[in-house]
Amino acid sequence: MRRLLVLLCVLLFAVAPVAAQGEIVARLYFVDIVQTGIYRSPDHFGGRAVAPDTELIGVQWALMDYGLIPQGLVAAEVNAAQQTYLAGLPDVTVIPANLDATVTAGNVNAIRNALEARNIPATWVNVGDSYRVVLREIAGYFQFMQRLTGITGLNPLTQGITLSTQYQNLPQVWQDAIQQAAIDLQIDASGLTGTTTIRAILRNVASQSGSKVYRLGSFAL
Amino acid sequence: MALPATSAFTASDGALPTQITTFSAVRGAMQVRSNAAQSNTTSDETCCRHNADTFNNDQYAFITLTLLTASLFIGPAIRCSNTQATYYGYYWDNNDRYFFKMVNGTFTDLVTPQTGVSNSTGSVLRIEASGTTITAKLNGVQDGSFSTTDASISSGWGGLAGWGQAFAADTSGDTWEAGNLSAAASSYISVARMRRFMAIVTR
Repeated sequence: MRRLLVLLCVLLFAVAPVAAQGEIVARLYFVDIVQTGIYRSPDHFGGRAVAPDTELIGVQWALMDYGLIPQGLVAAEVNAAQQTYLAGLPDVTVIPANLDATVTAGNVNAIRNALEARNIPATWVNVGDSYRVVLREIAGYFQFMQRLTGITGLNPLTQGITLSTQYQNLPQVWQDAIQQAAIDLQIDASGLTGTTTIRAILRNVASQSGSKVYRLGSFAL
Repeated sequence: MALPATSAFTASDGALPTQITTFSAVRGAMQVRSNAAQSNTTSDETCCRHNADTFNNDQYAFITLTLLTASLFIGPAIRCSNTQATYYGYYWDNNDRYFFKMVNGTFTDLVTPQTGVSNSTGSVLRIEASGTTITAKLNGVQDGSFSTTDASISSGWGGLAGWGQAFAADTSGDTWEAGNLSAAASSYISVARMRRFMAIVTR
């Protein structure tokens, strides 16, 4: 009987790490969008024209892109080994598993820098903000940029437009597109002035999202 | 004409917009062959849209797959533009499924492509948009993870999307319909109910 118990314990300890490694959890990542011909997909995860990295074969994901700006937020169902692999990639920004955790003094600058490097406004991110709050704001930017670039059919960054560009300095087609995108998404653009920057427009848009829920994979932000 | 728009592609073989003038090309070429719709552009994306009505922004389209072969795709499309190669699409070949957006000629996967799956003829592929929620359905039920929040395309016409140049015995779709979501959720429900009814009475 004692031997049987010992054997059972040995088997349990042997199996447990395998089960943990195989457990699938939903995680969020900021990634680059890569383009092959006309086909865009999240880097490393694969798509219509590109195979996924070997380590990520079989991973189920959903993409919310930053319009035609080649950045995206990916919700992916990954196991521990795949999470470790993604965390080790220099061009992937991993979001903590607990979205209700808060930004700390120790990582606030890293978060701001990582997002700004992707042309995502982030200087407003503060210690104490939950990751959920940060992601909801960014999802608002992404939705607006999707609509804006859906109208223009162009990536603004390739047209000489940056986050600091003022509305008055935008080509007329982009000014018109901003107004149209605001109408389409039922956003009040009455506060827009000539000196309002793209960065400020995105922040204003996100502040008007109210109770809107952004669904991405198994996440509801 | 009134929505929903429907087509059984009953026409002579030839270019879809030529044979059925209520369709216009959005990207590439599609064709009628043997009273069904096919993609007809070599190694490229294709789309045609209905042109005879104005759709609400919340809309749907569906098509029944009548033939499936490798690497030739067909399925429904919504919010198709009349000025750009822009639309949401959901299409199959015999073992792959894609749920995507095409914005001004640039294709983006919205979720993981489902490859190496067992696709079967008779399947009804449906795509619908309600606000910024875009969902693909298979026989009336969401197809796996094929649903997302996306704001890229806000309006347009119902249509059909495809890929590749099909020949006689290649991937085809039939019994297409597109309309407004608010309009009694389309006759697809009636078709589904009728099938369930027929399944019961023929037991």
